[in-house]
Amino acid sequence: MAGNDKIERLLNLVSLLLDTRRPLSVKDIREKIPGYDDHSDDAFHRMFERDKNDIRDLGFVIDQEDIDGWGETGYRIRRQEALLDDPGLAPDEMAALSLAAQAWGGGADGSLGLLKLSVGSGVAEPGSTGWLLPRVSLDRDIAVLLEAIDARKRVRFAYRTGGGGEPQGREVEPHGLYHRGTWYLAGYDTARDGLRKFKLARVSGAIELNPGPGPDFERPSKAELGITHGPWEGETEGVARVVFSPDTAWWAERRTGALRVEEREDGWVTLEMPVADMDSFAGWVAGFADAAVALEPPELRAAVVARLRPLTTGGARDAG
Amino acid sequence: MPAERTTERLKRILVLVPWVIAHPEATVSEVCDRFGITRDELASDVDVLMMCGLPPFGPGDLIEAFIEGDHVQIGMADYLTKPPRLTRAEAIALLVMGRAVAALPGMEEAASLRNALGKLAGAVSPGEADRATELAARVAVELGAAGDDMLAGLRRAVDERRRLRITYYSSGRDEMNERDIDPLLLCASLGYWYVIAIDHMSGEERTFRVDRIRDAVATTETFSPPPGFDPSRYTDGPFFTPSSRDLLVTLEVDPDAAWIREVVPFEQEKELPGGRYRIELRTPHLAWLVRLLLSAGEAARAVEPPELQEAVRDAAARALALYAP
Repeated sequence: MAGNDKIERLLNLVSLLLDTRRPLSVKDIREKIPGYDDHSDDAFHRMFERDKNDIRDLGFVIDQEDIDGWGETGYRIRRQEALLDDPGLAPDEMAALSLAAQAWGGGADGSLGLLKLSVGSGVAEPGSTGWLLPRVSLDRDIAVLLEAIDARKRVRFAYRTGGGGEPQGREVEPHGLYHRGTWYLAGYDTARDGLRKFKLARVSGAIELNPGPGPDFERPSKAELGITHGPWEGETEGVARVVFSPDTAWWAERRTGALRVEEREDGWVTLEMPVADMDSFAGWVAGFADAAVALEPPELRAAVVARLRPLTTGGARDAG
Repeated sequence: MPAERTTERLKRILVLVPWVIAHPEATVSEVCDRFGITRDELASDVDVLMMCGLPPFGPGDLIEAFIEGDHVQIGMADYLTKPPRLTRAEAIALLVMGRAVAALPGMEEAASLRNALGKLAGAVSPGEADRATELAARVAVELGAAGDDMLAGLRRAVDERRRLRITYYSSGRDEMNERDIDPLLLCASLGYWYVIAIDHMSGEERTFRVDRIRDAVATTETFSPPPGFDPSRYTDGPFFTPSSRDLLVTLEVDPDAAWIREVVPFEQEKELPGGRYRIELRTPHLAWLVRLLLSAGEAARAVEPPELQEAVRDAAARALALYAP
């Protein structure tokens, strides 16, 4: 199988570079590794470059030194730095880590990392089985974005807004990633000149990394992810007072962390909460139907009424 | 891409070799489970290994690798007795997820987990530790919103197999009620926690959203999970399988309410002129859709069934009455 030639060559090369005490010249390596010698010089050099890149992808650092004082490069992988000594995880620590690693679906990064740690520490099964963590997928987009955040590279992608319509090109300086049910990217949108967040599910097509060496931008020392749970969170536009029915007040209170202002005799509860986006907040209140009434500010009341009024007359406005 | 498969496979082999050397007692199926591979894949990894080694590749230089009976044997690979250090991606995966899990309410394992995370810095390449920590600080995972004490109490009940009496707000029906449940499993999906339980009100396996449980009181009774209960069914979150008894609903959504297409599990979708969409779904209850349509205002409409249109009109009128001067 052609695939096995390559994997065998790479494994032999890794083994040789790990085993050698002194750095090996290209000539040495070519002589020692089967598969290199039956190619022309050019083909061999291209092959060797690709193999070195593949080995770096495995996570190894290939040490390069001048071995003869005349510019002849020698290669090796320093075993002490490349290989993992037993990190000494206690059984309970291993079990807790297994529990956490369960949740990574898709990419094998978490689980392979866990297996590396378990070589010296024995095997632990996650304790409780009464509990399934959500799958957080680490797909290719996430890998690209992590690389971009790390190297401070701009990214470009086509993006559909929540309002729908055709996807539009965006250029973003990525600051951080956030996952709540689905992935979000927080960063600086260069064309709109401001911090924005992007739901990755709305990205259409591939995310492209800005080519070229070196970082593209400076970023805040701490990522402002700026992701909110609802229209009561974020940069505050005002403070709202809403009164909730006895059946819903507990839930609204728990969900928003709002301040309880008053409990009326009939059991209705007035809550006070900051509002980031008055219009979407009005939609949230309207969704409670007759189980919540917006009290203040007046523009919130007006926005709720404006949302509800057309619905009382309509029915099917036939789309035709 | 074959090139990618080769390095992915090599990554696995470089961990598999030291792991097998350190766990000679592990059976073939244990090794396969652990590494998420089939028996055939393991056999072909072994085939690769026995062809590899050090120059000059004489019989004494090759790795010893074979499957004998129910065990894998690997030897003559002194340079591969330790796995590679954690890559940055691996360290970040463990750090980010570990922090998210440690932050869950009622996690008895949180202290052990934090200790384990503290040891990860030493497991990446020297010089990579700071970079991995810095990058991990820019990635956050939140596993789900739920009342803190509620989640911890439910987890205890699942572990102890204790029957609970809950006061639950049913969003589908828009009503509060009290019922006994046998909690079988907790799972999180799309930002919410759910408890899968036998519901004594209906006698069926049901899914309850944890943030909608107002109170949960432990009873003195315990239960046994029903035979055939399969937790792995819920690995990707609770699935709401539509049934043929459900109502068929058609909605029309304007661009301003495109968010509806992300929160409603629809079966079919058709794009209309002007960026509008017509979506079809099946649901046993209409109450939750009424609230959704009130939220959207004019930007979304019920096309079918007529009782949904009527319910939206009535609910909007009742709500508006509360704003009458």
